[in-house]
Amino acid sequence: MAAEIIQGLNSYFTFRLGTELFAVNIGNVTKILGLIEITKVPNSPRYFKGIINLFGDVLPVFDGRLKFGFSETVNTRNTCILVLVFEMNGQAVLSGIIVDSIEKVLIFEPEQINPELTAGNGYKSEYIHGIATLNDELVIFLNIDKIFSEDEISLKI
Amino acid sequence: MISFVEKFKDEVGEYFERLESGLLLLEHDPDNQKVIDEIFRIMHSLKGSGGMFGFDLISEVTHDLESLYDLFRSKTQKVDSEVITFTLNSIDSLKKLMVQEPTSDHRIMAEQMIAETQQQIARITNSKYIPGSHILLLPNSSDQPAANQTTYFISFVPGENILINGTNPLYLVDELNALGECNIQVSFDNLPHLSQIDPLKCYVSWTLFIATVENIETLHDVFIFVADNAQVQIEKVSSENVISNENVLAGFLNAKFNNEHWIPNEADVLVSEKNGKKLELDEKAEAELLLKSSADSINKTFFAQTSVDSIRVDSRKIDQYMNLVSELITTQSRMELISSRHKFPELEQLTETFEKLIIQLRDNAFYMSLIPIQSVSVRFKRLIHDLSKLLDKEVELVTEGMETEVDKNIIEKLMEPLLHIIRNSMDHGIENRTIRLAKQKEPVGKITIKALLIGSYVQIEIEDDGAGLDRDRIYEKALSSGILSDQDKMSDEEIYQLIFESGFSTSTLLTDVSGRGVGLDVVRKRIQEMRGSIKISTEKDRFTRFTVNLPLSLSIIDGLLTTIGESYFVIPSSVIRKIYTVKHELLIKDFRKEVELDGFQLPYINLHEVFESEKQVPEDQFVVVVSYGIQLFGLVVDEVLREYQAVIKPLGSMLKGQDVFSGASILGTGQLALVIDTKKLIQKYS
Repeated sequence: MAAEIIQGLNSYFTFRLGTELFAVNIGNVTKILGLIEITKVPNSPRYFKGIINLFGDVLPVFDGRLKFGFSETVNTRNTCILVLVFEMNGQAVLSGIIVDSIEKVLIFEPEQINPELTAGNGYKSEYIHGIATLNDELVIFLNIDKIFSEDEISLKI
Repeated sequence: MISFVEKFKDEVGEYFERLESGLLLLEHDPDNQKVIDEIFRIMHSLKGSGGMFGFDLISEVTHDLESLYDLFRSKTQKVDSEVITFTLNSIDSLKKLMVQEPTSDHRIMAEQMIAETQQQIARITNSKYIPGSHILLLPNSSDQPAANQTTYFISFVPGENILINGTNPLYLVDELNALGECNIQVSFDNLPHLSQIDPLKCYVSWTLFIATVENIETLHDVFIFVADNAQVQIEKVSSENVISNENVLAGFLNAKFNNEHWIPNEADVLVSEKNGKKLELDEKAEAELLLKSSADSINKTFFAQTSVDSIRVDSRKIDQYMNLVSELITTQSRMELISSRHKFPELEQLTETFEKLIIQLRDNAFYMSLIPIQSVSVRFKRLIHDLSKLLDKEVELVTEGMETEVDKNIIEKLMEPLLHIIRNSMDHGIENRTIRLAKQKEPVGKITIKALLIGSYVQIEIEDDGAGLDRDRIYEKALSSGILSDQDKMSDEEIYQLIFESGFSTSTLLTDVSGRGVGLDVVRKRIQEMRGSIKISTEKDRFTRFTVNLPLSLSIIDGLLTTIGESYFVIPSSVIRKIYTVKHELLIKDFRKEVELDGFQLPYINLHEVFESEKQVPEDQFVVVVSYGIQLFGLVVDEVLREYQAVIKPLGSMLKGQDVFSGASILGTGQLALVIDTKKLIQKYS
């Protein structure tokens, strides 16, 4: 499927996993889907939920909460699939991630994002691009390319 | 600009192909003027557009090649086989010169080519003692008396986009004006309103009468470079200069627009009879032929656009189209579901019509991605031509069923293996002339390439009438290289298949042609990767025949739709031997993982278990018996639903780490079914 990563935008898409607020650059977001039936791939890791039919193409879907070490997502009315596009081995790759809720699109200037505050949350620091505060709440900026780069799914024997 | 360069490169690739096929045609028919014209025209286009897009070397080299072909085009000299071979080699070099920023190596190569081309020109012209190779000699030279002027009618309708190619139609009109006395009318009929004018487009056309001493070919030549992008009609009006005789001209136009044949008046006939020259008669016959052949088209499409038989489409657009169609199928089945729930007769009827249309659309989309093998057959011809020169063997190529259509991706992947087989046949199969005569065979060898459709498979046969395989030599070689032990009992048939094993080459001396490290084992591997098979059959001193079987499309397979737990899985039909039902209890009791079916102990894998399905196992399960190499293996599934033609979608790079599932297929309901690679599955779980 043709997908393009748009670069150089200051708009960020925010969403929640559990109670934490995360942000990805809007250029990495292609679609938001309601929760639909996901076809399981046998013997795949638990955070890999399976595949769905995205307008005639196969889209792998991950559980965002499991991926970041929270407990497994419990589906609610607000649960949805965020379709992200990112670079993997020089190619644009699409992947879905299940999130608890979608928040807003916000504009952050580069100087508002503090790259120093990455440690201490228990996340792999390379997954995180920086942190900002918004109405007394922390917003965690994700480095999408890094998060999925090691994620070739292999099956258990 | 970049996209223009890409387009240009695409176009050049096509030019090269057309040049090659044209040259190969010329080899058998060196006087074919049409082909020579075509070659000349392509050279000219290469020269022009090469320069425009910054491929200067191409432009420089083709300049001289164009001069060379100008000699043949003007019938000054004849094409010989040396020129053909020279040009073919030049095309290969030109391909290497397709760079925008040439290095010094490129420059040297280009200079060498220019020198060689000039040598060719010198060779050809000197042998006939005609000095000044660049002079275009015309059959009718201008020193004929003015009385021999002929009047022609010319209609010149430039294509709308002619200006974009850098052609100025006015120059062409000027050129005509220089050839004789003209009566020119400009037509603004197609000129749109000012607000709708696109300044890049040409809206005007010309009709003109010309009285000239030149013949009709010269007039056609004026338009030679715009032939693809304009409609040009040239007709003879009279054998004398009637340009100032308004009555004749009006009569001609009247006849033309009333779709009548224009018959030159008696005076003309008298003139031509008086002249009584053969040349004149020929010309007249030619003009009449032209009139006749154009008569049909005039009737319908005098000023209409030329019809286009095919268009060039980016293959990604076709892929996209295919995706949309499969999405449409999915949506349609959802609609059917809703319609069957509501039971509105009108809606049901509509849904049914919809379904029929969509099935047609799907088939249509599928056939769109197929291209005929014909499109690559010039590469076979070229290889055989080159090799027969190199190996000094005369070979004739016979092709059958080249119109057979195969998925584009398959053709691309198939080319290398097929060319390798041909190389093999040329090198090891076909004997040279003396040996063939000694064997009382036809002195010229023959390679036959046949393609035909068998169900959803395409079969390609490559047969040579050469020496055949030497059974004993293969056998010995297999023994000595350890592929076989002398205890192995094998039929002749099986021995022949050994040449596909890796590390196998019976040729004692490696030649330049085959034996370049790529063996038939690689050929077999490539073909198997495309889910195809290859076989060889042979008879000593009679023939060697390679038979390649391939699925029509890489993306569609026949499969069996099954369920395991709550998910759907597809098992490819090609490996399925039998299906049995079996009680689940029977499988639980057996700890050796073997089940007795028809008196045989069959090893099995219960997919319900290995896929860790949480759903309750049904009482009756199915054993799908599949072949695994030479063994049989049972795959136990929960339910066998039906046969299913699966459009395989890749799982994407995230799932590359596994190979048990070769892809997924979208079911009518929009759900996904995973396609099982049985070989990998058995390897992994047994």
